[in-house]
Order: sequence, then structure tokens, then C-alpha cells
Amino acid sequence: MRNNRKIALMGAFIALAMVLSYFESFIPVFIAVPGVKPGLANIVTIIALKELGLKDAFVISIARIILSGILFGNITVILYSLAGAILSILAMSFLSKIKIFSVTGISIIGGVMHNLGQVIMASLLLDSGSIMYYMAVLTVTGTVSGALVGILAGIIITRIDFSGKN
Amino acid sequence: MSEESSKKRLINKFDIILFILLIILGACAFLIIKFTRAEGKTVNIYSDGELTESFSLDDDTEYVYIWEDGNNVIVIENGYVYVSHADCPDKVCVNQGEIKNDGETIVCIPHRLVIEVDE
Ligand SMILES: [Zn+2]
Repeated sequence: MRNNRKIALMGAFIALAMVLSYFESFIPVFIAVPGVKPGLANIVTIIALKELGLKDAFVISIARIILSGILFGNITVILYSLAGAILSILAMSFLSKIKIFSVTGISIIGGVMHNLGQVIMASLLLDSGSIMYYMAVLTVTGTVSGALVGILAGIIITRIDFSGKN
Repeated sequence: MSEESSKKRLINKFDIILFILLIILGACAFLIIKFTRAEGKTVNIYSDGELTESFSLDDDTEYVYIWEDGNNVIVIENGYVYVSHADCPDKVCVNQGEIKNDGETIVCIPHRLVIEVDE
């Protein structure tokens, strides 16, 4: 992929991810456990991981978290999101390489790891290991949201040609 | 670009197995935690990791926790503890509802608050 084209694509991905996480903040609050969120911005992360690779997916995801954090959140939100995103991307990148799961399975692991990263960060921030029991609920919610996100990302990947060859 | 093989299928059988296993795992862990925990006796309030207050779960009371310019109203009522009001941005602490078992917690990350029920 040509460099200019790639930079433009990455910019568009960051913007789209920011819109999705902003949109997510309007979803009515039924959150009973810290970390329960559909993670719509993960759609962009998965597409970036598949189409551009680990390094660019990382850049897009971290740029989105820091920009959204500065605009709509605070330092706690940034730390919390970064922990989830980093763990999630590393796990998804590893699974993409071993080629057992399709995009849905990769996204399920991404969803669960996203929650795990957030709970670990919350434990550190609050200096309390006792909250790790939230992972029971978060495993279920992360699996369901990860599956939905993966299917959506997969549909987009199969429908749109990001290479620009055509 | 990515390989065609990875684009071909949206869902394979391993994804489905993974989905089912994780749902069962999470649900079982949740049920085991929920039903094996004994009822607690004390409510400990931690602020930024430090134990600041302790209350008995048997005595109905209301305590206002202060963090910087924010607060959480913690209510102990009929053997349960819950957060009735808070001015944190996410309201996760309020939505966590009431707890009473040993080891259960309510947290408010923006206010660095952990409410933990203990033996
Ligand atoms: Zn709160």
C-alpha cells in the first residue's frame, strides 16, 4: 500500500474509532460492573489489525484513546482504556498468527482481554485485588460483545477493499 | 494485504466452541462466587487504597464519602450496603446495587473508592 494512502487510511480509522467511542458514551447506563461496555471502537482495531498489521493497529488504538480521553474523559479513563486496549491487541495479534480462529473468535478473545486489562488496571488504581471477581461477569459480557464486534468487523472486511487496487 | 484464507469465513467451529466455553466458564464462576460466599458482618470503606472507615452491616446508617470535590452517599440498610447517590461521571457505583456477602465490593473508580463487605 502506498504511504500517502496508508496515512490517510489511518487518519480515517482514528476518526471513525473516536466517533464510535463517543457514540458509545451515549448508550444508556445499565453498567453495573466497571468495564462493561460493548467496545464498538474495537471494530476499527480489528479491521486495522487485519488490513494494516499490529504496529498500525496499535498506533490507531492508542491515538484514539488519548484523543478521546483528552476530549471527553480524563487521565483515569485514559489509563483504564490503554490497559484494556494493549492487552486486547496483543492477544488478537497472537491469535491472528496461529490461524485457528476466524475473525469472530479473535474478537471474542479481544473482548475478554479488554475487560481483563481494565479490571487489572482498576485493581492497581484502587489498590484492591478483591475486585478481580468481577471477571466472572466480564467474561460473559466480553464474550458476547466480542462476538458481535467480530462479526461486524468481518462483514466490513469482506465487503470493502482497503488496498485500493480496484 | 491479509491472506484470503483469513477473510473467507466469518465464523468457524473453533469460534463457536470458544464462545460456548467462555460463556459457561463465566456463568459457572459467577454462580459459584454468588452462592458460596457467607454473609458479611462489616463494611470497610477504602479511599485510594487506605482503610478510612468501618461500619457494622447490622446498624442502619448513612455515610457521605468525600473525594476532592466529589462525594458518594453510602447507605447501610437491612443488612445491605449500597451507594444511593454519587456525583461521579459514570455512576457505576450507584448501578452496582446492594451487596451483603463477604468479599463483595462496590467501587467508584473516579473517586478512588472501594466499599468492601468483610467477615
Ligand atoms: Zn461512582
